[in-house]
Amino acid sequence: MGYFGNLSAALRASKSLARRAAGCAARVALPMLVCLGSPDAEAASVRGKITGHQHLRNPVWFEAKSPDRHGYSFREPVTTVPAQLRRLTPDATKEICVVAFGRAAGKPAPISVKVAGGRTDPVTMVVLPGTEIRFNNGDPFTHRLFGVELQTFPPAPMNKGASRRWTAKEAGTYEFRDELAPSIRSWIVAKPGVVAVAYPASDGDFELSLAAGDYELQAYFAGAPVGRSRAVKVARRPVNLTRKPLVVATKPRGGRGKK
Amino acid sequence: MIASRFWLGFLALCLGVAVVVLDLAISQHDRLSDRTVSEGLASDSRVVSWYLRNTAREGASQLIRFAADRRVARALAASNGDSGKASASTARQLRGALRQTARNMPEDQAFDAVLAVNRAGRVVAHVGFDQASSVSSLEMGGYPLVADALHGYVRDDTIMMGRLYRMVARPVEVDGGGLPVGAVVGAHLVDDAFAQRVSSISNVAVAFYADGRRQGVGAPEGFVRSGLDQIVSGLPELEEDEDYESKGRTAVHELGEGLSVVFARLPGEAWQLGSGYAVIRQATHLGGMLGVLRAADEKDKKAVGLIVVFLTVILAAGVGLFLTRWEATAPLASFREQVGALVSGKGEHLAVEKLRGPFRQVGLDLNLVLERGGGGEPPVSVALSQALGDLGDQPQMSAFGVPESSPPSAVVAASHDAPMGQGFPSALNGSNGAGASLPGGQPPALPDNDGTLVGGVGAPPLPRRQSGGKGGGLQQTALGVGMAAGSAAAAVAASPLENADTDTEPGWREVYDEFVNLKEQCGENTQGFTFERFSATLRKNRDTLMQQHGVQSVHFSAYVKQGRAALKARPVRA
Repeated sequence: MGYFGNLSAALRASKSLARRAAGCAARVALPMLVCLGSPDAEAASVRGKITGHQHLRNPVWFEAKSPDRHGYSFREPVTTVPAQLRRLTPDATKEICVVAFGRAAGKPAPISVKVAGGRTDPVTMVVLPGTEIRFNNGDPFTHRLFGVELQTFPPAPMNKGASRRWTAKEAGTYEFRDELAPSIRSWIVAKPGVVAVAYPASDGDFELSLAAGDYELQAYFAGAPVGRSRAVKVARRPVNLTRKPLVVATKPRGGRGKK
Repeated sequence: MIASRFWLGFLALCLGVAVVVLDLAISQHDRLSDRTVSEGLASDSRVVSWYLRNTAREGASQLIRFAADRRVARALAASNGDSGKASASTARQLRGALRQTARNMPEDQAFDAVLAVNRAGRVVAHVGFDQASSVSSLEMGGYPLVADALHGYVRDDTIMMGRLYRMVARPVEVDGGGLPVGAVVGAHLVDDAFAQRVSSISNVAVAFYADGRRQGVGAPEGFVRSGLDQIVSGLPELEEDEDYESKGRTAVHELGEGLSVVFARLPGEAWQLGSGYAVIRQATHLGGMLGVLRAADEKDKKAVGLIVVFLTVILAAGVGLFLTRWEATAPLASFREQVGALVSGKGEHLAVEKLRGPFRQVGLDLNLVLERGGGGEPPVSVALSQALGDLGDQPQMSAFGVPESSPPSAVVAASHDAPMGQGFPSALNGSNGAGASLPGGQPPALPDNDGTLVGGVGAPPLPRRQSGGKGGGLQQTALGVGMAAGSAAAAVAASPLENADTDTEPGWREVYDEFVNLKEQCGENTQGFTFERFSATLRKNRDTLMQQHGVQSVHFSAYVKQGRAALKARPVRA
């Protein structure tokens, strides 16, 4: 399995990889990879793809469009945009993660979460219990994050560039919000056995670097697993799962997708 | 003075009615003012809501200028191409396009800031959003406003980004039929300038608040702006306001100092933050009569019917003056004229028939005094003569001698000098020849020089008009009789004569005969001097003396004193 390294560095590297791939306009986009341990020499690449995420709905945006929420005084569609494209699909690069569960070992590295633009980046995180989360304010104004029903993370001002730390000591799902920005909702799932996490590209492709072994892949969205998990056996050779993608959501009956 | 007093009472009643009417008017005014303020505030709140919605729609229309700019669309499309981050040149070109388009906007519809966002939610370029200059990259992709625009919707929102912004966003497309390449966002900073624009157009005093702080206030000209700052004190109460939670708008709240306010939530994310706006009105409570004067402005003062007020004052004063002149001034002047004539010697008496009111009575009194002083006769002589008739020049009875008596001081001197006839010269020796009456209608009880009782014998006591003092009673009785018609005096005097034959004592006839005899001897007139009148006088004096001295009877005797017939009364004890 190797050892755990710097998770933030891995996350940045993963995103950089994905962006480079997008820049190449390749049909196969490389995934954003979050590796909880530095890939060792025996690590193999696991490439996969998620589908059906266009049927998911960002809960924040979906709730905000309800007139009962009084989120606007008017909201009208632009008719030149096709109706099928006017669905509030999530930004997969930030909101959906593919998690590889296996036999994890070592001490988890801290994870940095950027708070900016009315959301956190990433939105959903799946971590090992004991992982330290570092919230960094990337906006030029103050935020006031708090954990929902979480005594250990009460509301507190976080000025521009400031950070707040919190450690998920126990397994569970935790939600974080901002008193000054209702659109900010962030989920942290602390679960044992997390080996690696990948954030797919906008088209759903992802890539994980895993050591040889047996794993179970599971997609997460808005703090909850979506779709069925997939068992993966990794040897020294790369694994390509793109032909049989992970289905995270299906078109709901009635034509409206939710999760 | 009855009419004057009635007029004063009428004026007092009118004043009381005016006070009642004024109080009622003030109460009605204050109540109507509260209702008007309440209804006005509800209307104001809706006006502001409509204004915000309308300006948002207008802003969305203005954003078409940016969205339709191909430079903007191309730059945003280019920023989506590589890693979601635009190159510096792309950002520069986009910023230039935004700035140029913004300059061409109508001034009254211009945005404070315009931002161009690519599909990743990153702000590629902006103009006017100064706080973004302090960060390397600004993102907005998480806001529902931007997410909707990136998914093909145009809408507005109110977002708290350090400061409160009213924003509107719409998608930017390169070619129709595909996903937007980005979105443009127009923002109005909610500050004092924004609030003042809202106020100037809607003529409403409005204050915007967010995060428990005032964001901007605006008020029409003449409104006391300090009251707008008081809304912050009412914000904590909003958390418990059910209407505010469910409907987004409160009922009328009172902030003190006559300020009434309605709080309303702002649409957008700010709704969930409890941010909103407050419309404020100043209720005009008169609070009392002086408040009417304080609250009156120039328009009110011009509306006052000065002519009506002037005529009312003139009428009221005129009636009062007329009545006081008619009832006081004119009679006083007439009285003064009469007195003046009397003083100047043009007359001997006051012409009481020309006097009115209390001056008539005063005139009567004065006439009586004049008669008493000028003719040497007491005023009672008139009354007594009416009662006893014309007894001639000489008195029929002069005095009664009653020893050990304490007479009134005014009579003592006279009686000491002349117990009979001389003691009461005017009464007993006057032309009317009547006997004397003592104060209170009592016959005198006077110690004579020789120790006998001396008392005037005259007419029977007359009915007293009023119960005054002794002297007053005598004077008023005499005056009343003297000035009244003769029939009245006769009626008064007739009552004792009717019983003259029924209560006489043995020997009175002899005394009468002797007295008449002495009068004739003295050359006095006895015509009409009957026994009935004589005995009535004796009876009255007898009764009085008996009551005063506690004697069983009184013995009368006639004699001559200083050449005139006189009578003596001597109390007889058991």
